[in-house]
Parts: sequence; C-alpha cells; structure tokens
Amino acid sequence: MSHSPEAVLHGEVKRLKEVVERQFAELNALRQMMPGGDAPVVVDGAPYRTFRRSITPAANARTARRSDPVLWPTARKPANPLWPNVGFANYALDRSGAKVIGFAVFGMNDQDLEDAVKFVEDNQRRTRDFVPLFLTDATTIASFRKRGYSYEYFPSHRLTRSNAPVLREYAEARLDLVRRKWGLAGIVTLGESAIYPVGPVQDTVPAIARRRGG
Amino acid sequence: MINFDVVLAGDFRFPGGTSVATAHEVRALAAAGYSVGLAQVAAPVLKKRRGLHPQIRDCLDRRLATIIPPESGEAIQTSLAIFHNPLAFTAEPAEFPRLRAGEAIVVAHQGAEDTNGVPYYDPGEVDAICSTLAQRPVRWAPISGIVRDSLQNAGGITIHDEDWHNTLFPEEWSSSRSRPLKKIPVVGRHSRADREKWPATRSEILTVYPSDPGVEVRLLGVGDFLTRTMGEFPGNWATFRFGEIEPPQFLKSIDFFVYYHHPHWVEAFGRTVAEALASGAVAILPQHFEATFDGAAVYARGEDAIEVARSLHGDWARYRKQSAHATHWVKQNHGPQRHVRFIKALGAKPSMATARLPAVTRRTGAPKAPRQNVITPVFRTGSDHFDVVTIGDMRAANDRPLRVAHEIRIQAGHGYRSGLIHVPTKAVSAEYVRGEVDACLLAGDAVLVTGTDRVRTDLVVVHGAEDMFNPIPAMFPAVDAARVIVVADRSLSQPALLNAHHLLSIVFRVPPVWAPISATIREALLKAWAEIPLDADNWAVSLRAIPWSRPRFRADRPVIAVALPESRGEPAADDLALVRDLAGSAYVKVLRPDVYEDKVLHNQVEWFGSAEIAATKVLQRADILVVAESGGQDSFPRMLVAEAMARGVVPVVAPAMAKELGPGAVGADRPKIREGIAKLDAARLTQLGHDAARNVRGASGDGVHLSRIERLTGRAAEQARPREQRRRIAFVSSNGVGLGHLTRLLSIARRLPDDVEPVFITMSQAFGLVEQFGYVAEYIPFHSQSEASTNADWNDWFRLQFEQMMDYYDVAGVVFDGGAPYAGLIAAAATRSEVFAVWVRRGMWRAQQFNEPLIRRQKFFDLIIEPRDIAGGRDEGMTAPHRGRVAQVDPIRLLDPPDILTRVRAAAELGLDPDRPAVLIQLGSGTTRDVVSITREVVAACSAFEGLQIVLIEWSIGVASFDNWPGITVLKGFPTSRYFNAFDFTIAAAGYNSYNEIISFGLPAIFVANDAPMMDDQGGRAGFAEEQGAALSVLESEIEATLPGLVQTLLDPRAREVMRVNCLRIALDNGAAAAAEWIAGLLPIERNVGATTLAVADMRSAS
Repeated sequence: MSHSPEAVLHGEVKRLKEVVERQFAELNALRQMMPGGDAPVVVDGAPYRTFRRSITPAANARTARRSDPVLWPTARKPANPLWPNVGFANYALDRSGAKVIGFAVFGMNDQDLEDAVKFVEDNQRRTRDFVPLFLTDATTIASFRKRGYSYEYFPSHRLTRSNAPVLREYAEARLDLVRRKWGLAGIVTLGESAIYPVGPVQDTVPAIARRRGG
Repeated sequence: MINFDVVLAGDFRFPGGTSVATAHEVRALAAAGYSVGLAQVAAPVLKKRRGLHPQIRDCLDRRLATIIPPESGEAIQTSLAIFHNPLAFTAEPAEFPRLRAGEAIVVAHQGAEDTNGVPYYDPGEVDAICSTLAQRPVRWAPISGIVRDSLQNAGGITIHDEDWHNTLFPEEWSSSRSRPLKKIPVVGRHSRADREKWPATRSEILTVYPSDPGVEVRLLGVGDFLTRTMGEFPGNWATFRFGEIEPPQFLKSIDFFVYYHHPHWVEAFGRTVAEALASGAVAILPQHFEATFDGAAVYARGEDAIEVARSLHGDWARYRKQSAHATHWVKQNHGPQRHVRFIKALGAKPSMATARLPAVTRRTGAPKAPRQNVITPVFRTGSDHFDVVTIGDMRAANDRPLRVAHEIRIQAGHGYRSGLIHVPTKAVSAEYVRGEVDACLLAGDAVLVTGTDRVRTDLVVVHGAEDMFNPIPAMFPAVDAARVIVVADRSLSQPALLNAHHLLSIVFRVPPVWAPISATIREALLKAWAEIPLDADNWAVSLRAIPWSRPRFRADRPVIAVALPESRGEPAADDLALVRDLAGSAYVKVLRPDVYEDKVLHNQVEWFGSAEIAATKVLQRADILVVAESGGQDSFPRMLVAEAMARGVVPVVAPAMAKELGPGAVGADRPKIREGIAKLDAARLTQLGHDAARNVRGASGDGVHLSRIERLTGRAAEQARPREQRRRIAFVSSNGVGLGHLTRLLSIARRLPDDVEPVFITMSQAFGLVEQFGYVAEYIPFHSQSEASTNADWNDWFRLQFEQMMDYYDVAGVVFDGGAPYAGLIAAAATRSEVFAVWVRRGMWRAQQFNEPLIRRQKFFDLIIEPRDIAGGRDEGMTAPHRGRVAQVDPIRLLDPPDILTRVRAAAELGLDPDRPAVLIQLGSGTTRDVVSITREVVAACSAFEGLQIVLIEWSIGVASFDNWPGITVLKGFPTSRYFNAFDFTIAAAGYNSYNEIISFGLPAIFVANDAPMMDDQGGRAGFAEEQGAALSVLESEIEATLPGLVQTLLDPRAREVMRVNCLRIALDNGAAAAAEWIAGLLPIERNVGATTLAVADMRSAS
C-alpha cells in the first residue's frame, strides 16, 4: 500500500465523497420521516409578469462557424469535454470507468420530471457506471439541484415565432455543441421526442399559492 | 371598380420639392410598369389659387398617370395608397375618391414642428384623416432622419422602418466637372425665395455669400425677402428669381452649392441639395445636413464655407473625388430604381407588362455597356463564381486585414459576391486570423475558399504579395480569374517585385496588375521596376459606412490610443517611454501586435495585442490616436488612421503624414508628441475630431472602392443585401451567490426603449425568473456544474456556446453583470467590432481582496456602469480608484415605489394579520455561509416575542429548503420586495440589492452582514446604515446574545419611525433607467438609404 502524500490525499478525498453520499441518503430518509403537522405555511408568490415581450430569431442568425487550425485559425480551441457533476447520491462514483449519458427530459410537468430524475438516480446507484447530464426545457430545476446533477437548458421558445426554420437549425447546432461539450456517449429520451419543443405562449399568470409545507 | 397599382394623393399644386418629388416618382413607377392614379386634394395651407405644378401636368400630358375625379362615386382599388405631405391632410377634404387600399403610407415631407417647437401639423390628426380616406390604418414614412426624429414622439402613429426616398433622375442633372469654371470659385444656391430658406440677417447672408471680388456668387430663387434684407446686391452677385432659369442649367454654372438657411427652419430633406449633388457640384452645407447626406457633401460653419470652397477650388483632384462620390451617392440612394424597389417592398407590383418609358428613363433603365478600358468578365454565372476573391494572410497585425474587411463589407453591401482565401505566410507570426475579417465570414459577407475548392472570379485582389506562397501551401484552391490586382502597400525591391509578379502569373495564369496605395508607393514601385504594370488609380483607403455611436461617456481625462510599430516581442525602450510619458495626463490604450503587460502605471495604461480585440473598439473610446511609426510610408497604418478619423478621433502623426491626411490630423515629430497634444484643449480637440470625421467620411467613403470594383469587374453595384436592424442586447450574468447580478440586469432590461429586445444569457440557475418577466433566457451551466473539469476547458466551451447564442440572436451588444468577466466571454465579445460590451459593476469590493487581474479586464469593455451604493462613502475596494472612467448611476433597483403592494394587500397575499407585527427574515442564499444555523438562531430569537409573525424568504437558488421549518411562513417567488409593506421590520443580509432596497423603501432593519471572504463589503454597508441611524446590525457570532434586544427595540413603533425617516434621508433614486439609457445610447441608429446603409450620429438619448 502506498503512503505517498498524494495517495493519502486521494484517499481522504474519496472518504469525504463517501461521507457526502451517506449524509445525503440520511437526510433524505429523515425528511421522509418528518411529521407534517407543524410544517410551515409556504407562500409561492405570483410571478411578476408585467413586461412580456416577444422575440423572434434574427434574420441574420448564423449557427454554423468555420474554424480550422490551418485553413481558418481562430482562437476557438477544441477543448476537452467537461465532466458533469456526478450527483450527491453517487458522489463517490469512480469517474474513470463511467460514461456521460444525456437524458432528454423535455415536455414534462414537475411530477413527471421528478420521477424521471429519480429513475435515473436509482439506476446510477445500481450500476455506478454513468454520469447523467440532463437536457431539459423546464425552468423549475429543483429535481436536478437537490440531487446535485448538471443539466443543459433548452429554452422552449414559447416566446418566439414557432415556425422559423432558423430555430430548427439552431436546435440542431445547439444539440451538437452540447454533445461535444460534455462528451455524451449517447442520449436517452425520457420525455417528448422533439429535442426543441415549440409551444404556445403561456398567457395565464399563475396566481399566488399557499400550501402547507413538509 | 377601377384599379390602379398605386394611388398618389396630395396637393399637386405645391410649388416646391413635394410636387417635383411626386412627379419623379410617377415617372419612375410608370417606367417600371405601374398604373398610377393621382387623387388631388386642396391643402388648407395653400391660400392662393394655383394650378397643378408643371412637372405634374407634364406627367399627365404624357399619360404616365391619371387624375382620379374626386366626385367619382366608383370605388378605387389599389395595392398602395400614398398620401404625400401631411400639410395637405390637416383637414378632411370635402371630396375624395372611395379608396380600397391594400397598404397606405403617409409620406412626411416635413417634420411636425420647427426648431422652436412650433407645430406645422398634428400627426395624430393627419393620421386619422388619412386612415379615413384610405379606409385602413396608415403607416408613416419620413423622408429623412430629421423628419423621423421629429415624429418619434408623436403618439398613436405607426412609423415605417425605412425612410422614404426622394427620387430624381441623376442623368438629367449631370455635368462635367473636369476643371474649375473660372479662376475664382463660383458658388451658388437654388431654393424657394421664402424667408426661411435664407440666413436670418444681412450680415449672416454676407458671411456665407460674401461681397468679395475673389468669389462669384450666383443665386437662383431671389425674391422679396432677400431684396428687402439686402438692399443693393453686391457687385459679385448674379441673381435670378425662382423659376427664372432651369435648375440643371443653373447648376452647371456653379462649382459649389453653398446652402445655409434660417436657423429656425427645419429642412426636412433638401431636394435642391440632392439635385446639386447629382450635377456634380460640391455641396457645402451646415453640419446638421450630415444626417441626411452623409459623405456626399462637405460640412462647415457658415463663416468657414467660402474658405472651404477656396481650398477645394485650389485642389481640383480633391474636388473631383468629392464630386464623383456625391454623384454616385445620389444614384445609389435616390435613383428611380431605388424607388421602385421600395414600392415593391410595400407590396405593390406592376400590372403592366410593358412599361411606358419616357425617353429619359429608358436611358436609365438600359443595361450598362461595359467600358472599353475594362476586360469583359469571362465568367458570369455558376454557384462557384465570385465577383471578387481576396487573398492574403488574415492573421497580419498590420493594416491589411482591416482593409480586406472594409472592402468585403462594401462589396457585400452592394451585391458583389466575395470569396476569401487565407494564405498563412512566414512573415506573420500571429496565431489567429483577425476578428475583423472573421466577422465578415460570420455575417455571410464573404465565403471562405479553401484547398480543394475550384472557383471562378472576375477579379482577384492580392494583399501582401511579396510574402505570398512562402511557404508554398500544401493545398491551394484552383482560381480561374479574369483579372488579378496586387495591392502594394509598401515599397519593394526589384527582385521582390519580379518574383511576386512571376509567381502570381503562374498561379492565376493572368499577368497581375499592381495597384499602389499611395503616390509615394507608386513612385517607389516605378523606381524599383520601371516596366511594372500599374493600375491607373491608386488603391486608396475606402471605408464602409461606419455607424457613429461614440459613447457619450467622457472619462475624467483624455483617452489616447497609441499604435506602436509592427515589431514583435517586447516594446522598444523609446516606445515604452513615449507611452509612459503620455500616461502622465491621460488614459493610454496601446495597440501592438503582441500581448504585453506593463506593471508601471497599469491603472493608466492598457495594452492590447492585435488578436485580443478589434482595433476599432479601442479607437471608439479614444479621443486621440498617436501613431508612433518610424517606417514612413511603408508601415504607416492608413486604414487604422482612417478608421480613427471616421470616428472623430484626432490622429497625431509625423508632420508629413499629417499634411497628406488633411483636415483633422495633427503633425508632431516624435519628441514633441506630448507637447503637441498638450496644446489641444477640449474645444480644439472636438473641432479637429469633426474635421477628421468629415474629411475621411467624405474622401474615403465606400464610393471609392465601389467605383474601382465597378471598373475592374465591369459590373455595376446592385441593391444592398437587406440586413435586419439589430436592436437586440444580450444580458449576461454570472452565477452569483444570490440574485443580485440577475436582478440588476432585469432592472435595466425592463427600462429599455420598447424597440430594444433583451436576451438573457445567464449562468444563474434562477433563469426561470427571467422567463417569468417575459424575456427569453438561455442558460450556460457555470463551472461549478463541472467541478471535475478545468477552468480553461470551461472557458473554451463557454466561448463556443456563447458565440453560438450571440450569432443566433444576432446581438448588437453584450451587457455583463458580475465580478469576474470570464476569459471566454471576453474572447467572444472583444474581437467583434460591431458588438459593444458593457460591464455593470457594483462597488464595495473588499479592500483585502486581490482582484487586480479582474479589474484589468475592464479594458475590454466599451463602457463600465457602476451603480452607486448608499454606503458608497465607505467604499475602499479595488474599484474605487477607477471612478473617473466609469459611468456612475444611482443604485439599480428592480422596483419603484408604485410597484410595492399596500400593507393590507401584501398581508392578505401572504396570509398575515396586518394589525399584528411582522418580521421578514432574508439572510441570503446560503452559498457562502451556514444560513441554516443562522436562520435557526434568528427564528428562535423572534419566536420569543408572542404575536410577532415570522416570514422567512427561501431563495429560488438557495442551498437549503425551509419547507419543513415548523411554525413560520416561508415566502418563495420573486421579487419579494413588493411585499415589504406587510412587515414592520426585517432581519437581513446586507447584499447590494437587499440593502439598497431596504433603505430606499424605508423598511427598518437589523442587518446580519455576511462576512465570507469572497463577498462584497457587507459589514461596511451595515456599519454605515447603523451610523446613520437607519438600521441596526448584529454580527453572526452575537445573534443569540444580542438579537432579542434589537428585536425588542424594533417592536417599538417610535424606533421604527425614526429609522424610517433616517432611511429615506440617505436613500438615493433608482438608477436603472439611467443605466438603460447609457446602454441604449450605444446602439447605432441605422437606416437604409438606397443601397448604402448609413448610420447617423446617435448622440441623443435613445430612450
């Protein structure tokens, strides 16, 4: 067994990661055991939506770019793919043997999204051979945040004109960039199959809501 | 039902420009196959009985149009109804044809009011009348930017995006200007005789049109006013009454059209000026005409006009250049084809297969015959065909890439298809291509031609031929060229010339022709090789129309840009000495090939490598450009200097070069540069800047390059490729530990003018809030979302992703709010000359933090906006010494007092009892401190007071959820400050936004400052408020012991009232609107005028 300072440090980091992983599991368990009777009143303030403006894709929009170290050398370097965060539940997961998998969770309501992310988390706990990177059009991102997962947001462009071809081109270019950025080994579609959903403008303003927490 | 393609309505008895313009439009439309109906109304403003204008009568006689009888009961169907001149529609006409128009336009020939604000007409009333007559809503098309400006504030009318183009037939006006008419300048003018068309007093008239035998003055349009004002006319004047002689004949008899009018008169367009320009006479005009005629005229104060005429008369080559530019400009912007395109764009198509062509327009419309001295292009069609292919090493730190970028943009703007071949050479050691040229590809103005491509072109333009093919590229595209021009920007030896010449002949199989950039280089080339095939014209500097959008912000000392020689590595000792010397009394920005940092005077001197930033961005912010070149003609950065001058930056150069550059340039030998600059006071600098801009915009406009490309390719310029006007700004916020950055940006965005579209690109996970506000939000995961990756990799990906978003939304500017402008952000924005960058940077950085490298990044921003802090007097951080170069605004807040709910309503929404005391706890997101433990202590302290209602804010991006906290109310959502009135006091962190909101809205507070080392100086803020009696404060470590006593104090209404009064005493206004105004002010106002996109000065507030 090596006792070099580096090996000791490495071991310490690994142990701390395992602590994070265990404490996260314990916190979850405790939360579920808490009685609901004394929970606070939670007020979800109504969104402040006074300033809606529409925006359309630019007619001059360009999504393709030419960069080549010899033919057209620009400072845009081919960077190494990034590692998404592994998530708290599997914080000690060994990245060296793991792939990065994209999970497309478009078009889901909050509950479906929560279920989908939990499903991925459970699978990751079981196999411990992948790191998820979520692709979402949701703006309520608590399901990812509380689990320490990384995600890319694809705006649903509910505010934009829906049938602009340039939007489709942008979606494809964007997806291609995300694939390369995170070095995705593949994408698993759990939600709608459209990678860049275009929906109608949501004109109804959610009202203020009060509920019992817990 | 009767059909006309277009119906023109108006009073065609108007004696001046309106009727003449209408007649020309009729001719243009008829020639293009449109059927035209005229609906005559009697303008209330015309009191005298008059007949139709002769030119309108002529149109009717020639059956180019048909008068529609107003009493005709039959419906008139038309694709487009055009109401000429609002003055004709200030009252509803008694009779008017029954129109059914597909589209309706009111052409505003005149602004709504004069310079004193006296109204000419009420746009709202005219709009209502014309809408009634057209039986549909109308849009307004002003005939110039001046009229557009005057209509901007008129409510209830819709203004068309593009100005109306006054039409004339340039061929009817042209006259030879090969030599001066006489030995003395002949100046003259043509206008109506009315008082407003003349300078106000006799003395002012004589200033512009002097009684001086050294000048001949010829005036067409003399009437009662002038006769009465002048008494006897001077002996050197020749006068003619309005209409006495034909204007084209008159214009042939003058060299200079000098036109100055009454100071209160608003000349909406100036048709007589356009006619003079078309005739080739050089127009000398007051400065305000520049917005309309741009570089086509020369601008001077009245007292300088004759001197300007004398100067040009003495330099006829310059006169001819100006004259040629003017005639080209008129053709492009006011020719009949331009008008027909405009009408087509409004949806009106010609229904007649064969146009009824009057003789004069038949000539206009005929295809242009190739000139004899031009090689007729061999290749005309095909997808691989380019009009021009430009070749060079696009990494060069010198002028060449700038020249290439301008020429490509000019070509693209006039319908020429451009290819670009980048040939890396040993002579250039820079790693990357220049951003200016990269931007051409991004904009689609040129196509990159590479190794295996095969292309055909009318013209190859080679830059840097002496270094070309060294080394021989592994792959070079096959280029079939009809003609090859080699631009020579330096003197070369005979062997170098012969070598390059032969090599290019082999590669292109066409003997090249050399085009020197100046007379001196021409001379040097001939000296080196007497038989060198030279083009007749020099390849002079030509700039595309540059939007004039100098920031209105002025630093507290002059900003001097210094262009250092092309040499690489460390700067030479004497260059360094010069820079440091200049930095004694100015901010200095140094442009050189390599990146460099000088530790001395780093607060005053900023160094830029040529690949780091678009040079024009540096110039945009400078007052003076010092060219510290010593290589004379060969290495003098002409393009850079021209770019500077066009922006009103005064070049300080060697005396010989100053003479060559002309007005606006200052000559100083190197040892005397500082001394020379010291003599330039603010007024002189401003005057020189204007002279420089006029000089270059006039003499080196896009017409110079257009003419030569037209000559060399044998193809005339076509319609400009339409580009969407960009009024979109990317608001970029960093991750942040809270919502401060995002909130400030939202505060600004909601106060931008309506036509500016904000797009948010944020690293904050609170991006959903942005969508709730109705804005588009893009999210780029912050580095903390990839904690196992390096910062460098994250920045590289950030750049790519950010650029993709910038391109998709086609943003004109980037506004960043955050403490650390990321390397990826800077790399993406700084190299784009057409994208401005603003850093919104609050103060109160901790004095102990070593943030100097971050502060130095301010050099990449066009403007830094610092929102003041109520506790700003306590600011001792890194940003404080830089106040002289930032635009300060009052604290930026999202909400204003009217946005805050009343106590009753706020309490009702939160489920609180308004009659019982309530406390709001807002301790931050918990990213940088243990917010759960602090909250526990605070809630415990408050819970001890019976009846006190406790509301806890949970941040949308907070690290902790309070959903399980017993016995309290948890408030989520944004912005929570709208509920402030529900509370008697707050216990809060002292972050910028919370603090300034709390004080400004007068909410009594106990601050629990976050003392984490990475945070701003919250302790300083809390201390200041306490010192002012505006709040209390408690340290984190003393909450348990101290807080109960403080809460007890604030439960006393008298204490709260004292505190509220003190809050409002130190409160500052909301600075969000001012910040929005600064930012909108950076957007150039562009408007399409013919084939050229002109940009007009935007020195006004855009809000």
